Amino acid sequence: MTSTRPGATLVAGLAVVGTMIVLAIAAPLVTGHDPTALGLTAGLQPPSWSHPFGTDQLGRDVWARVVYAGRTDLRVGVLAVLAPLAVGTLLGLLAGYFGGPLDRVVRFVIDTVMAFPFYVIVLALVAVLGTGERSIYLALAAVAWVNYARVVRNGTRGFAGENWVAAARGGGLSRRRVIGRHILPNAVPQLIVLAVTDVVFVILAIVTLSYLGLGIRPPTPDWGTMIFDGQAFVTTQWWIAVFPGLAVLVTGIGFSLLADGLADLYRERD
Amino acid sequence: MRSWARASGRLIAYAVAVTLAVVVLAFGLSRAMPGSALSAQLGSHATDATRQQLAAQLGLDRPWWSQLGTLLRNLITHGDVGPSMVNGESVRSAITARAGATLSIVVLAMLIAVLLATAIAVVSATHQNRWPDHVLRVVLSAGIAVPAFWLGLLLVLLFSVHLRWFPVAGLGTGPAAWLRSLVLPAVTAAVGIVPLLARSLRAQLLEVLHADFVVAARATGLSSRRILLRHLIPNAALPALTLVGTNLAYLIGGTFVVESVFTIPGVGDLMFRSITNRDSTTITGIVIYTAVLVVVVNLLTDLVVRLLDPRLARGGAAL
Amino acid sequence: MRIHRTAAFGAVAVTAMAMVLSGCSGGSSSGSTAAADSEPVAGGALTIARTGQNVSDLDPVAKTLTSNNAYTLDKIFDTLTTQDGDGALQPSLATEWKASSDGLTWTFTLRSGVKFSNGDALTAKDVVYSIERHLKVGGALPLSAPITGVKAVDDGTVEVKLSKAYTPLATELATFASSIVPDDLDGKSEKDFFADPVGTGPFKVGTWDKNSSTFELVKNTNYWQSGKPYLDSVSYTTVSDDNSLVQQLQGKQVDVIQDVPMANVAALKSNSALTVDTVGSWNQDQVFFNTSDGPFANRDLRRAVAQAVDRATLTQTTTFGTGTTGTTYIPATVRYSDQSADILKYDVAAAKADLAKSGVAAGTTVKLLVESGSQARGQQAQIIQAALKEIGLTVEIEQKDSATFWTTFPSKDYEFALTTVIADTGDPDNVTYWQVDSHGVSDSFHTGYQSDEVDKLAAQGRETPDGDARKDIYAKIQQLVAQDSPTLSLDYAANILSTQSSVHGIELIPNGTLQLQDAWIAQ
Repeated sequence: MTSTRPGATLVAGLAVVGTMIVLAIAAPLVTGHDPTALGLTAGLQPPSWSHPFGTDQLGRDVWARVVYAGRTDLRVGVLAVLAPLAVGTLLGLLAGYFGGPLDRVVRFVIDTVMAFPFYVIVLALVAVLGTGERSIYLALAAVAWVNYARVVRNGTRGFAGENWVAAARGGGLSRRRVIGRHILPNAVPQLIVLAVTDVVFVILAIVTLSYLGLGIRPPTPDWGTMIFDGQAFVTTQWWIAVFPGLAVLVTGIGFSLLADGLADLYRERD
Repeated sequence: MRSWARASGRLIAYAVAVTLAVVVLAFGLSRAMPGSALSAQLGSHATDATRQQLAAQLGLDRPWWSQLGTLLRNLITHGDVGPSMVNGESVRSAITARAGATLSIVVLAMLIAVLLATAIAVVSATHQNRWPDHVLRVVLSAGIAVPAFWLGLLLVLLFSVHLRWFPVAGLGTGPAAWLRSLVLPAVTAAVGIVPLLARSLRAQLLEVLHADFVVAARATGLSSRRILLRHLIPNAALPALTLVGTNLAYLIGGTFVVESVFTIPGVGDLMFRSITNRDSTTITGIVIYTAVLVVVVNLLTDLVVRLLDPRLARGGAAL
Repeated sequence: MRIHRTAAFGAVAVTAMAMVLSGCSGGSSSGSTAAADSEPVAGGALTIARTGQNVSDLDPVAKTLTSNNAYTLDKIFDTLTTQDGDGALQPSLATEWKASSDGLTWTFTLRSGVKFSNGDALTAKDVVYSIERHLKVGGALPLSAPITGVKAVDDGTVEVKLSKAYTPLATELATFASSIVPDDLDGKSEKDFFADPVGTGPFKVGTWDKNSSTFELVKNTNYWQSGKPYLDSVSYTTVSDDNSLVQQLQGKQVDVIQDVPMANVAALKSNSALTVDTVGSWNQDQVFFNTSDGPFANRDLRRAVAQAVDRATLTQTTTFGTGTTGTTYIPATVRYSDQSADILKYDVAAAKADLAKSGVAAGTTVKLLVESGSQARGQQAQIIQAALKEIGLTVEIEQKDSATFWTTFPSKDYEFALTTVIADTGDPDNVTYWQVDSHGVSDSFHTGYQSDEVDKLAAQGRETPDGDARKDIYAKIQQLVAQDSPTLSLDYAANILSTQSSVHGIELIPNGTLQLQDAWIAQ
């Protein structure tokens, strides 16, 4: 039995995510087809040399759409994590450090959002804001910040009571300095792991929204819409729904392994 | 004792306040959505007169605060938010009629998830950084990453349409058929939960594996299986249990995808339909009952954890 | 599994039963489209899966009439007249009807020997009550006919007085909302009566729980067509997604599915265990232009769009050959639809010329509002987008769910919109009245279209008796409307039904309903 190095998970995650990112960026190089060009007389063609993943109902090249959709879904997936990460971290830090009424308010809001079925908020907000990328960022941010806030708040609360913080404060360090230089760095590893895991959830949420017809606007290719469009053909022209589904799966596995590997790394460093 | 009562009182007051905030937020959201129960129901060529009649019938012609007031009054006096805007039936009875299906899926999914996650975590932790651990990590990652509706679609095609092992959709009548019709939905729902549980369990297991009491137990010559069952799993299970509690709302909310794929007439399906129909009474009702359930389950989880936690049971810092 | 097919009859018993039945019905043919070689067999429970909402209300004049409510109503109630698979008017509770020479008095002769499901005989009083109730309440499908009075001449004759000649009257009385209920609802309150309604139709309510996705009808033993219905019961299941329909049929979980996804028709047809039946419908996927405000107030721009889209290819691609290419706003299955009208054909050069004439700069962005929830519509929107790109217009697609769409569209907060609409009857006045007549109910279906000439002709068409003169009037209207292009009919969809091959005798009507009185299941 061979024992592999602990960093293997991290490397595997990086490799998968890296490949997906490279494919997305190099999309024009890996396919000669325009992902939005219709070929109404060449629809539903099975995989072949000219169309490795076949064509969809409107005659568009599925391979081209899968790699171009990577641009959309990866971009939205990563960007949609940043806002809640920033807001959640900030609120969590403030609540955790200062405690008192501010902490109570933040905790109250967190508990309220947590008790709310996730998709009710997201679906309602998307309906309010209209479909499209901007709505996705806002709707997901409205819900997702809670996780970061909770983690950071609990972490900070732990540190805030510790002697070294009191000592640092007693030693004349400003609050900002204590938060910025001491408390925040302690929370960062956990936050990074959480954020990378969250990318997977966000991509799933986007794909689910698109599947419900509320996601990315056509004709921008997107994995969820592709699955939605292809599900009617799943018994006859399986390639239309199966390849974008696999793309979601592989991307998700990549990010998930990456998060797992990072968590290992931080655990070992401690 | 008095301090315990005061603490409990504060806890309950807090839970009530959270629930109230949830009610107001749910009502606000359902009203902020463009369109209304009118536009969802009247269809293409309704006259203005019909529109006004229906608005009056549904109470939609009154100002929002008056509607919220009615809703809250109904909630306090009857424990119900009122009649649905789609079929006039009591929202509470609509939810209770459907809660069985959803809770069955959630409970069955949990059961599957806990069993699978425990097995995976034990194998992973006892083979840390060797190939079974790596393979299982990829499997878990796949569980997180797979879109539920896509997985459901493929499972139905394979097991229902081709192999005919399970019904394609709907709930079966009779206990056996009913259970059989829940298998695929529960498995689909469980796939998303297993990684969360298994990862937490694995991490906890690894931690306790190196804990003093396990080392001590080993030294006294206890078999590793006995150590695993008596010490490791109970210790590692607690954080996982808490994890289940905190993710309950997410799970219940997420069942709508599963219910939609398998055409299970559950609360998730009702929720999606009421959002589509702008049935603000039903939306608010579902959110309230889910929130209450979440709060209660979290309280219970807290209690169970306190009960099971050997450290707390032994009066604190025994380790 | 939800199949409760009663397999009580053995092979011998089946034959005997069939002979008894054919004796009863006097050997008359069933008249159904899906004719089978063998004789109908009585008994059995039919399971039907359909999309949409659970049955919520069985009052024909309720304020909301969802399709599943409507498609259930017509099993329980009958109307004076009815429409067959070709959309042609047929006798039902009335055996004949006649308008006076001035068109102001209509006389309906009622079928004798008709009983309600509770055993009471149908009389003219019931018909008078039903029409008066419809007039008074209005409901989702109010009567447009200028009726001034309804009276019972005798037990078997009803007279309807009009203030103005109105040719579509007999057709209008065939809609779901004109169902005949017993006089004074049998003395019951509306709530009580419609919880378990009494009608003359082939079925009555079996089990109905508004919170359940299944709804059951059972045989009306007092039904006036002797020996029918053949089925003991019909059980409906509502599903939220049409892909699940196909899987349930393939998995043999149900006998019949309605609203078959067009993409699956070919696969279902190739399956020998299944039967697929297609009939032209009154549905159409249609683009509506906001003619009163925004870029499409410009007639030349509308014409440019109409000529830029290759509707034949669009229809072929998005309906998989099941639909018919759209031409005029009157669906091909509706009377006097003028398919030969010289309308704006697919012609990119002409489209570019009209665009130039419109003065709209190339590269201008226009917003297409699309009702979400249908794969076909989503793809039609993308085809339009690609087609308009060819002539230099950029299309931004805005998908909105139904509730939002039906708020945005009626408030005219759109530039051009794509949705699916259905005519209520097979008379050309119906779709003309709500789509292009500015005196109609909805501001020419929210397009704001107004043409004095069209309005004048529409009024004439309504009063002119059926025949060549009336046909010419509608031909003229269709010409005028096509030239102005307030709407663009992309395709006329088909109603598609798929069943297990053991199911026979279901008739599909262009309004989307299934007639089940002749349906039977081979054992």
